[in-house]
Amino acid sequence: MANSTAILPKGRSLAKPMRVIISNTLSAQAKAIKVDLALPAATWDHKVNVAINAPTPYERQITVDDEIYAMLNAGTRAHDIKPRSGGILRFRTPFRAKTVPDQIRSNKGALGNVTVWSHGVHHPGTRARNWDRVIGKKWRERIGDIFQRSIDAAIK
Amino acid sequence: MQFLKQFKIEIQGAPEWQVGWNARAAMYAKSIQVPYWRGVTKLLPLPAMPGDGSTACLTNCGCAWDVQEVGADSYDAYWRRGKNDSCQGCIQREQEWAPLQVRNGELR
Repeated sequence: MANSTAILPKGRSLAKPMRVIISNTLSAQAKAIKVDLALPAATWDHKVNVAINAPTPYERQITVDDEIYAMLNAGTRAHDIKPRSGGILRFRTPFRAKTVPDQIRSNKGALGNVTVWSHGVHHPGTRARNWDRVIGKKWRERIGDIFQRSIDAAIK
Repeated sequence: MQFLKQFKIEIQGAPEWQVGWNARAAMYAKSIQVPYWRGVTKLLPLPAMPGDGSTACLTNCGCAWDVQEVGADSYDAYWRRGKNDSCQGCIQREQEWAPLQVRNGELR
């Protein structure tokens, strides 16, 4: 029967600094992403709630709880819009959206000043804004800097 | 630095000074902000630095970190705007990061 003993490094354990470095990196990146996710809705009439959750110490989830935001982020297919039974559609034109695809910002937008009445319209669909992808890519490219700052902070 | 090197190559290859190069040179000069703020923030694990290009204002950012020590290895870090015409990202950061809390070396 053979016995084996682990050879442990002398000096202070790296377990705690490593945990702090990883946790700080994830928290910092999550906070940066949270700010960016709120930007497309900065000029909207209603407030959009962005939250950070940490299901485990080494995981962060940044969520936006808003149906309109989700719809614009994913986009929509072309579809017909009919008035409710007995009614008629009313909308204004020329409409100018507050957001544009692949841009992390929000403009004033405009509802238009010409009122149109219709028995139905064919909506061409809404182009996906892709905020989740654009913001995710942006901060994936920057995580190296954040990680380095966390290391520097831990070993200062 | 890679952008600056490319700029040098462009200047060397051009017959005369181009319109816009002054502004471009000034932009590169402003990029010194990032190492400056890294030093000022005492190597705290903060998400971004003013002028690091992570906001729409890029290196024209006029913001600053206001770091206040609140205990041993504990700080409150405020993102402060320095211009009236800040971009949306900086305005949002001022609201969200007011303050960012570092407690015992951990970003809360």
